[in-house]
Amino acid sequence: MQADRVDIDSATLLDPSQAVWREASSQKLQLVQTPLSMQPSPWLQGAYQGGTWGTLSSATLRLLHNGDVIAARVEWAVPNPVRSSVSPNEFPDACAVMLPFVRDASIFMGEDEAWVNMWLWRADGFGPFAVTAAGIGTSRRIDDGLVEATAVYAEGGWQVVFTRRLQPQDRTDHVPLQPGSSWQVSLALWQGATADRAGLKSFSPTWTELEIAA
Amino acid sequence: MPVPKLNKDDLLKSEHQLGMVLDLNKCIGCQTCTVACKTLWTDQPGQTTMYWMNVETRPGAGYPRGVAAPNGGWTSDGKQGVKGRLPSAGDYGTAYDFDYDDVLFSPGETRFKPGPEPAWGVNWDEDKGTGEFPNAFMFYLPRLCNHCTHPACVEACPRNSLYKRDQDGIVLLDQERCHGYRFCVEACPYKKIYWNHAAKVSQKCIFCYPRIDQGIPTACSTQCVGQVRFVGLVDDEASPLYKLVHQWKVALPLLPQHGTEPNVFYVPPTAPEAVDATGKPTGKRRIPMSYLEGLFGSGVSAALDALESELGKVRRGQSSELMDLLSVTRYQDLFILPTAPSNGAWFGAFSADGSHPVTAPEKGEH
Repeated sequence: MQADRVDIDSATLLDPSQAVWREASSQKLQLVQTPLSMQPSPWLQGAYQGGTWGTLSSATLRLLHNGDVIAARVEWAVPNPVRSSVSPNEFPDACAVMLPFVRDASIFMGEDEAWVNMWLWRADGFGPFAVTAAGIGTSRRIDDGLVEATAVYAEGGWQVVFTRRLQPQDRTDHVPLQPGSSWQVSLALWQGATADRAGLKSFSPTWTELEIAA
Repeated sequence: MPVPKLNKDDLLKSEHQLGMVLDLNKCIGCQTCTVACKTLWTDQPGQTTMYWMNVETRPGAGYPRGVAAPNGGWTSDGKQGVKGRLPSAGDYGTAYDFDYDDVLFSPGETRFKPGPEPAWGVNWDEDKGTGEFPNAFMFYLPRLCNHCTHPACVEACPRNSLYKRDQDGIVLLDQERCHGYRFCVEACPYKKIYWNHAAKVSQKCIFCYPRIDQGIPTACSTQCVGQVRFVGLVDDEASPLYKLVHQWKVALPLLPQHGTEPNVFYVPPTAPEAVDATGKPTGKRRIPMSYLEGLFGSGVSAALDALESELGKVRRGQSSELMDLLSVTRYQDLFILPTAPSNGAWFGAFSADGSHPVTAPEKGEH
């Protein structure tokens, strides 16, 4: 898929309802449930046999940039949105866009010498965060303000836009992106209605090639 | 930068195991332990209904509501996790708000009551119990984290945020590493890990480890007016815990059927005998054995027999090592900590008759 270059300010890009997003090229990504066997918890592997999670089957991804900031808009249908995490049994809807630091890093949260980078939004207002990981169970949230997100719930689904500088100074916690280059992207969604959290989620099981327009 | 990878087996290891024995025959339900813990550890935002230490009335719904019908933990062979139920906010209740202005400054007779009308909260069913007169019964059950040997919480966390301390097996939760997924809350059959919705992390009893590190027992233990609690190493043969748990077998784990191997043990309630309609003792137990076995496992009957047998000795003017152990004539005999300062500084320090400062004996002297 392609992240086209547009001559639009970053604040406008951050608004999911702006007309520019309707005109942006899109790709529908098929999502699958994360396998129980990959959960890094011996207790969970037993307790969650036959459990329900990760039932969201697709999401629509669009990317744009304006030379300074790259923006990703994720849209998916959720009939019963969950916005709260106040009660111990409430888990908010959430979404992450994942980028590898190294091409073809493991889609399962990266690995030792091939980290991954995520932009994480949660419907309970906690965050957004940048996240780095070097394998399952190693993610760290970075709350440095570089990743911004805005979300609206409309027509039975979430529309979330992330923005981040293409070339952040901090390249330890953020994958730099260069106009005119190609990179990879994937998605993860958590549905609060089925208590999705952590590795219990829907995800796109392969990297999608991303062309960042010059 | 990602967090380091950790090995689950390493997190579960400990060289020794601290534990606690609570004699339920001495607990008067005064909640001093509850308050000692609450004021020391859980007075921050998001901790209003968080009681690392609480005293419940049993039979009762427990706290959070529903914990008396436990879930989570392990299958009976201890090998497979059992899905638990995450309590709702309503199961913890809400803090009560009182409209002082309305009562103090409004004309008329406004009834002073919380609003909105509460429907559940900590100690909601305090002293209620069950049964019919004259054989109604209840007892108090103080509960804290069991710092289990096979802790479902530690094994449930996909981020390896929970671990047992190497030196004493206290189960701690790394607040930086925790992402608030609450598998630990779900896995714990005792629901002794709490969700802090303000901090977005789970939190739990830390067995007062900063005090332990200075040789000072837990706040709930030192403040206990009934001297209900023994604290020490479960694996130290000189410890009263060892004698009560392993030698006399009168201190039993709570809900052993959930396979987490708790390290908090209870001397079960003996309770008065049941009486007939004329008030005469029937020789039968007032608290049904099946109820006690549901809480403390199959060892209850033998434990109660041992307690009553030894109590009988004392009543006949004979001596009983077990009764001496449980009656505790010296406060400091309740606590034998490997970290206690050799000069016994913390005991504070007065002899039993208050006449002179005392020095705690060395661990080996017990």
